[in-house]
Amino acid sequence: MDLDDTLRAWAAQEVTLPTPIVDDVFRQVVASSPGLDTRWWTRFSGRLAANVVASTRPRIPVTGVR
Amino acid sequence: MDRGAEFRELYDAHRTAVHAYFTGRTGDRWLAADLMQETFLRAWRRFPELSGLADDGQRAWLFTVARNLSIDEHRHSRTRAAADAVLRAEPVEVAAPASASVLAAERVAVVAETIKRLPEPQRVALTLAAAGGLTSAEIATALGVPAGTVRYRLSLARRTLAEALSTYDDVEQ
Repeated sequence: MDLDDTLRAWAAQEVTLPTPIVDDVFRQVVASSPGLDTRWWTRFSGRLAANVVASTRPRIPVTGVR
Repeated sequence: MDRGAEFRELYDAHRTAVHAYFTGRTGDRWLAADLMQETFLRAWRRFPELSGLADDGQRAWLFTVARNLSIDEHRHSRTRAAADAVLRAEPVEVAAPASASVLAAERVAVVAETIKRLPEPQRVALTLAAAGGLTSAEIATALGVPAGTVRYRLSLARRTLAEALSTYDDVEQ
């Protein structure tokens, strides 16, 4: 049993995932909504807050600093 | 072909290498499975843009995500790694074998223990090659390092393993 054979045995024994685990991981991944990035709410609420703050600022004409 | 079936093709093409990468980084194939799942979860969310990429492009995208996840995991596991290092410092006990199959199993155990003690860059490269089935050039692209560096790391790792097996064989004779 040379080094490559031993490495193959090591990979099969210590690294390779059992097929049921591989399939289960896949099922869990595709069960989530595709294309839905949950960070959209953070970005949306951030933009909303910025717009609200901007819209409530008093409108003072900029004519120069006194 | 529906989206799920298309994604299954991508998953089957790259899951072994991604999982091997995380196993090399963490030394724990179950934790690696969790990190692999997180990587493919992000791929699934971005599948419309990923599906248009060639195989190499998909691998590069996945490993960029994997490297970032691995950095986060590394930050969270420093304490655990320190504890593991103490345990790994214990000498490997090798009992007298009784048959060829026992000998083979013990050689695998010697290799497993030696791989755990390799410097991380060597361990990751070796795991990607031996368990992930990637070539030196593919490992280089995945890790973002020159192919020569990967070949050097693999060479050092294999030399260390060969020496460990040689020592084991000497003890057995």
